[in-house]
Amino acid sequence: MAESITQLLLKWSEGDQSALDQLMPLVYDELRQLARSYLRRHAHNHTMQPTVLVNEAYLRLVNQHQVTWENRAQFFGLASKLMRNLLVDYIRQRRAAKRGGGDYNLSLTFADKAARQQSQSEIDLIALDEALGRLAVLSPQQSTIVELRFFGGLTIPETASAMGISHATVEREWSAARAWLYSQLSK
Amino acid sequence: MERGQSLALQPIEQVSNPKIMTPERYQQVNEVFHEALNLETERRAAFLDWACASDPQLRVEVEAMLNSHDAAGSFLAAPAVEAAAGEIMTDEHARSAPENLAGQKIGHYQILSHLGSGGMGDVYLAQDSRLGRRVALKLLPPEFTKDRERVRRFEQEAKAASALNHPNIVTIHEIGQVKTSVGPVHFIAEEYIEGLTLRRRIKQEKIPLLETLEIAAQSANALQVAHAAGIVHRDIKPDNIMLRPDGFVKILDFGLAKLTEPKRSPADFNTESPTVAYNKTQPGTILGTAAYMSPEQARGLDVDARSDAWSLGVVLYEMVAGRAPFKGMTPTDVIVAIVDREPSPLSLLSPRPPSELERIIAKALAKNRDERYQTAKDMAIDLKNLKHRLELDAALARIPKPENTPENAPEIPPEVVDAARAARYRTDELVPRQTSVRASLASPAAKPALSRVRRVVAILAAVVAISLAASLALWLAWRPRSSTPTAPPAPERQFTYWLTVQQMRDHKEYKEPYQSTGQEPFEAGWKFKLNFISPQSGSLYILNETLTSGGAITYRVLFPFPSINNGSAQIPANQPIQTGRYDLTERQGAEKLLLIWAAQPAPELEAVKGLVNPKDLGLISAATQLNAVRDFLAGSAKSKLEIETDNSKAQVNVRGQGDVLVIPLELKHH
Repeated sequence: MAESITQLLLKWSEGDQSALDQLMPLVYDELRQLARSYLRRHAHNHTMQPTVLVNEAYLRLVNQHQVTWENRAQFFGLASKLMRNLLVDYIRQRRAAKRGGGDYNLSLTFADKAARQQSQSEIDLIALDEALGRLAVLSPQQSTIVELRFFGGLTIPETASAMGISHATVEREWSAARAWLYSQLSK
Repeated sequence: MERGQSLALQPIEQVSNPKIMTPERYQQVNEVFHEALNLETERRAAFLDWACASDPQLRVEVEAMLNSHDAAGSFLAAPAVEAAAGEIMTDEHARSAPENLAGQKIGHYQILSHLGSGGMGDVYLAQDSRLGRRVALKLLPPEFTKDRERVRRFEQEAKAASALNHPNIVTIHEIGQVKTSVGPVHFIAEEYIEGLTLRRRIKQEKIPLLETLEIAAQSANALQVAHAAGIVHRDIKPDNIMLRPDGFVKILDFGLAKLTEPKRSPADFNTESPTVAYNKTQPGTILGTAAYMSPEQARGLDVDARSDAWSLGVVLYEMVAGRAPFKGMTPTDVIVAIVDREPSPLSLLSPRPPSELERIIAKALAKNRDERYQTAKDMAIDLKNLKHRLELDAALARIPKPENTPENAPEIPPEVVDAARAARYRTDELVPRQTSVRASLASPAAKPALSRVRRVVAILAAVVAISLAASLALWLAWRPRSSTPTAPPAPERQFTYWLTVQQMRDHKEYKEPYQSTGQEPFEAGWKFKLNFISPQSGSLYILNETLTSGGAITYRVLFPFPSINNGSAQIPANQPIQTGRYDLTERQGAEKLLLIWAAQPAPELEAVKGLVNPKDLGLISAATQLNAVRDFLAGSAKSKLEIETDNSKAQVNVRGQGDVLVIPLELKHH
């Protein structure tokens, strides 16, 4: 029986490196499914908040009920870091494969769609990851907040309780981090 | 914010080289940034003049952040998974063949959404505009259809498969091709199955033994019918086995694997991975498929019915053990394991599976096909016999041991006797009545139940007195399928419902309302009310199934409603309840409702009944609530139901065991 992602995450957070190897394919699988449902959403042109969808995916990824309160903060910290690594590696590999293979036969109509698609998901995760690395040097707290919020999908109150700081601090630091990262990425 | 507070920032001389950002410098930039942010936009410039008077570089940094803050819009608003999904999607797009067609029309099929991708190409949910039904539309990738000979073979096979008519086989509606801007597209339109694949079910949890046997037996039944028609599936795997919420198993893609197989001869074996050479673009798919190949398939030999028996054996092993019997890092490794290795013995599992099950699997997985099950029928019989035996063992284990002479035979609990009586009454009554039981909703156990009664009666007669055995056997046969063998029999619940339909024309009421069972097609725009009555008191909930923007199933709460029944779900016995009026939307299709009749108020549903307000429109959008409702429905979906449409009274009678009855009601409209 395949272990659940949460169990694997917990194992990994307890220092079991082999859990990570089992974890990756599961997370990738979820991501692909997410991508497909994303695709369907665009096809429908629905108006539902994207976060609903993503929260759903994240809830599937990480069953928070299995996590006890004691290790919750640490767990979310690790899970967010892991998500960051996985996502960035994933995108990096994909791009490498695309450059190397180069055998995608894009029809003209599709190329057009792809271009529009690109502009919609305007975030370059790899560039963001690098900028976040620089931010970690300047303000470790802001970098952690971004990790928890953006990669971990936590809300502001969840981030505050995971880090043991006030909502107001999270909001303040988040807005600064966001502005700084944005300026870095638009350079 | 007063200026005085930022005075602490002033000793800028500390920053020797302001171009190099340090944590201290960043801190300083941040503080000025926050100060400025708290000001009205028009006052910011003056503030910066003052705060950065001696440090022009500071001003540049702060202004960059302020500008970014204003321009950032939804930057980072959606979590990273979504951004990644966008990128992945672009790739999936590029891979999908012939291209993403959602929203477009293929012949008379309007493509609604993308359901998934497989070795056969992409599968879409589509609306058949001619017959007004939803179908699963498979579009075959051009690389598979370039070879005309292969297309011919495929069409021949698909046509044969479409002639198969069996409840465990997905119905193929149409096979054809249409011309599009990217050339001819071959498609298959088939029955759209709601439910989940066995693959997902295996991932979710360990499947209980009796359910495992039921799934395998229904699959074997399907194979038996196909084999009798000369069709070999060739690609039995958990991804091709669909489980419907009502317990039906449906096998997909009969014979279609032929299309994706390369033409090859036995001589090809020993060349590098000959069996997987055809599908280089999807390594995951190959690995997934290779695990279920029979040794003869792996060798590139011709396949026959016995190859399907092998693959079903692999699936059965995986359901029991939670992992596939033949594994490897590459398809070649898997193939070596299939041809050469014995799977890890099931006897090592804890709890140890019944030895009969080990025997069945070992027989299905004999490397030499002459030693295997020669027909799927034989396998189905063994599976069913084992299932019956286990059910009987479990039932017998509940009877107090052994001084079971008729004189001091144990008392059967009164509720058992009642259930048995009710069951007998129902059996007698149902058969001759001029009513139609909707086959699609009846439990698949309904048919075997009668033969099971006979078997059980025969065996039990030796153990206890005949009269006792008869009621006990009926109790065994009629207790709810989903319960574990040790669970007490659930009480019977029943209710009757009907629709009051108001026809509409040009948005005006047209003719008198009429009473309906909801089975005829309606016109879009018509309105209806639901009527409900039960001889028992309980809680009534009505949900409307709908899709989230992500394509996942979600629900809209229709009942309870504040202005009806005091907003409560609780309905007294024998009191008719009429719901509010609902519109059938202008868009054609099917409106799916779930009628839920529960002995006790269901907390999961009570939690969402407040959503019936103009803002939420009843839509359950909170993930936790939605998950709770889904779990609740999944947990209740297995209760056995008898749904009886009484056309003479234009009403539907529902009976079932269990504390919760969930009745799907689909209203078709065009």
